[in-house]
Amino acid sequence: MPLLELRGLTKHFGGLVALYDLHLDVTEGEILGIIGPNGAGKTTVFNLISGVYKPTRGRVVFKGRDITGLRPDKIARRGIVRTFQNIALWQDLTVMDTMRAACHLVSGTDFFGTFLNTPANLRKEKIVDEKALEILRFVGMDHLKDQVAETTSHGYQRLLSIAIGLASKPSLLLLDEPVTALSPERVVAIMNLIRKIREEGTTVVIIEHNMRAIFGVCDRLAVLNYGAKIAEGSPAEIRENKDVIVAYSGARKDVS
Amino acid sequence: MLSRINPTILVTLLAIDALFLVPNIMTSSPYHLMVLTNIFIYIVVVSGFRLVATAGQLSMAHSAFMGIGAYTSALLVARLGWNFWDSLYLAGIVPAIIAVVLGRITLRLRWIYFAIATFAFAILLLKGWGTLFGRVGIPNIPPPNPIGGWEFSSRASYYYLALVIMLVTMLVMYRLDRSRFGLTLRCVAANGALSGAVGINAMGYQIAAFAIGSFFAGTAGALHVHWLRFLEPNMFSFTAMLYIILYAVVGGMKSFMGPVYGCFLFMGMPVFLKYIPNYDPKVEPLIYGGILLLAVRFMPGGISAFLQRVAEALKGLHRKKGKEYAAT
Repeated sequence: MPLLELRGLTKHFGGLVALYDLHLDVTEGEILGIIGPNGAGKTTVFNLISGVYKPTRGRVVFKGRDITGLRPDKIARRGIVRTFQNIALWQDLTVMDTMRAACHLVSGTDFFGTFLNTPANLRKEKIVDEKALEILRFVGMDHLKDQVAETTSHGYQRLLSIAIGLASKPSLLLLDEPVTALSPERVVAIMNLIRKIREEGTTVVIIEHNMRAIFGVCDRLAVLNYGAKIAEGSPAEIRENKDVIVAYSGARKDVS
Repeated sequence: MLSRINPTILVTLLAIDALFLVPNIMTSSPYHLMVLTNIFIYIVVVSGFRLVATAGQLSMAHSAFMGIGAYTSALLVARLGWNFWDSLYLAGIVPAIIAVVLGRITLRLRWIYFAIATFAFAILLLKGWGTLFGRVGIPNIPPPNPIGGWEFSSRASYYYLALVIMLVTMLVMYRLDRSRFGLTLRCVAANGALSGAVGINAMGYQIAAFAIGSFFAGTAGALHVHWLRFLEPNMFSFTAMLYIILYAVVGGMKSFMGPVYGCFLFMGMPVFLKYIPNYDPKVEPLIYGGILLLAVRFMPGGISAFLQRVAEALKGLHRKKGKEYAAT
């Protein structure tokens, strides 16, 4: 059984068809890439999976259970966490506080415990702090823990948004353009990080425009164009696929 | 040894101590006690408003929730003969329940739309009070029933009552601010989409903040009308709402202490303005408006943020000195 099944997902915005009849399976333990020209509907797929939008038609099935149209926080609770294309952070929070907040689901604290600051709560918060630090070390930015998140460099903000995603130990992590506008060295570092995340047991789906990066790291690729899936397969298969070449070059059908 | 005592705690304890001593010093000045009592009650109101704002929503119904609390308690005590102490907690709980219901409907709306929706609710209530319970309001509201020899009909005793309730409110606000609950509220306000993505029920947290904030508005409303001994619908009008926003914004929204600074500044100011010869209280709104403009322009984050910057600058100075000593 696939970890995540998209069954005929369709999304209309008024008269615009952003996504049409998408069937896609994500297998446990793989790194799947979703590529396609601007406006192909890639981010719409993430928004539908993570509950930001409700699909016009179709179903999202996760671990065999229908999660179509659930609220984003409930979907996160099931084990799917996504990052955002435009780096999303909580303004004014330090890196450490950001991670504390991101550990919301795994903190195990309750309102009265945290309000009265009971010894049990202090112990739980201490465990959260350790978890947060561990993840910061994992992505390599524990030395910045006391800095305000928004004042760190663009590269570190990208890393931090991945760290936020990892905080609640998801079984499926959706990364929306994790290496956009990064230097080549940083791209390599983040690709290695993504491989490490997979080794830790998290399945990863990536949307990315950086072809060299995504062809290098993904086991499988799905290609979208104008809201429809035009190809699916291994990086080698996709590289040879005529429809894909046409979609990207936007030109002659006789390219071979 | 002395240096180990946290200066913030020391100043806080001294300030609270001083507030408890005030009635002994000012026995001959009921006016000043009255002003202070009013300040305490409004600190409770504004703290509630700030909590809702911390979760990222501007509630324009805060004065209306004050009214719900005030009417709840006034009707129960003056018309049905309830004990004040029994009605006081209902004066908080009834607004909280109404806030949950109103929140479920309106908190889907962001920012200005939520403000407009709550504003509409407030206007509806303002008209409703007169229609339901009479345009003149409720006269002859009895003072709180005595407990253990404490008569709450005197100004000094009511001063203590308001002071204690204010201190309890501040303690609650302090803990809410410092706890994971406060951290999560700030996250919901700063980025709702990201909060949802990490599993935070953004709307649930906003409803909780709205309910708790309205609880304190209602409690303070009841406290206010049992002190004045009468109630009229206009007390909870849009004007009252504007003053709440004024105190909150100038005091500072980012710290639980903001409402304290805001209330003391604006409600304490008339006491000193009276010494100006030929002073006309009608110009007060003008002065307040001027202060608001200056504060927004030159003190972003209000008085509390300003004080924090001053404290940090002083600490930095201190540290520099320490380094120089270490070098020599």
